[in-house]
Amino acid sequence: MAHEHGEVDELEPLWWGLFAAGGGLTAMFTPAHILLQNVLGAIGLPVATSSYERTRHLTANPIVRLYLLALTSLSLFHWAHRFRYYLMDFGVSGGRRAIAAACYGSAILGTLGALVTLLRLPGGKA
Amino acid sequence: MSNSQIKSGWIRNVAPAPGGYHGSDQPGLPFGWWNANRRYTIYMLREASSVFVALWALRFLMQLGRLRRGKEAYDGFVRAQRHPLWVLFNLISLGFAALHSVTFLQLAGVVQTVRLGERKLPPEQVTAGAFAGWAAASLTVIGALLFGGLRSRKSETEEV
Repeated sequence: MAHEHGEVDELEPLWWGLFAAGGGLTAMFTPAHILLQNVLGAIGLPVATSSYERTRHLTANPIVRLYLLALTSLSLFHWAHRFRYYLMDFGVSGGRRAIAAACYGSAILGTLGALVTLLRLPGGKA
Repeated sequence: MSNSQIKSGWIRNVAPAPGGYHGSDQPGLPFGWWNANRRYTIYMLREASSVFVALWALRFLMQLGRLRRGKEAYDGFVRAQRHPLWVLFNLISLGFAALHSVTFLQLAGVVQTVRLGERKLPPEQVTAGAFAGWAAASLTVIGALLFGGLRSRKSETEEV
């Protein structure tokens, strides 16, 4: 991969680190979430996230919130890094700086959104 | 072997590709290059998986955000997810997520060196360990989603 010299590329090890951490975490955890919550849960299996009370109860736990922050935020950083180079694979050759800024910027905004969402969750007692 | 030049003036050597892809004289890659063979197609699908994984994370956050707005709002979101088109989309997302897991964990053995004292673990064992970790993580998530928060529902009537 070719790099122009600039701020974004000096941060490359950071972006790569977040990419790798996100890749590992989502590889381990995401398929089970989608299978249970969005496939089996959607066709009637009584999973926790289908229930308002159970989800409130579970997400009242700070460790669960920390886990959800890591999982969602790192999913976004993993996407940002891959998508940046994906565009090049499709033949986009201009605007590298702008593409990198848009991808990582989205991930940073998404992380802030996740932080706000998770901090403002109601407690366990409905 | 040919040189190609892109806008920034950077020149790269394009090596002959294995498996039937023939380079072009035009700068950059031709649009359909990943169709040339199966490895490239899987590579592009693997890269695309991150889009579905990230979209799932965002949708889950939106669902959790509904908790603040009360039971009605939360249940409405969950009900909407039962629409067949959402189930189809989620099945596709599951396929991409699984593709990501398999390809990423296979790579773990190649890129990650694990040392036990003087001994370096062979890549196959590192990969096997990564897959064992995937199984353990999945079981943890499945257990939490099946049994987590059940106490909060004790006093209520069971859902059908």
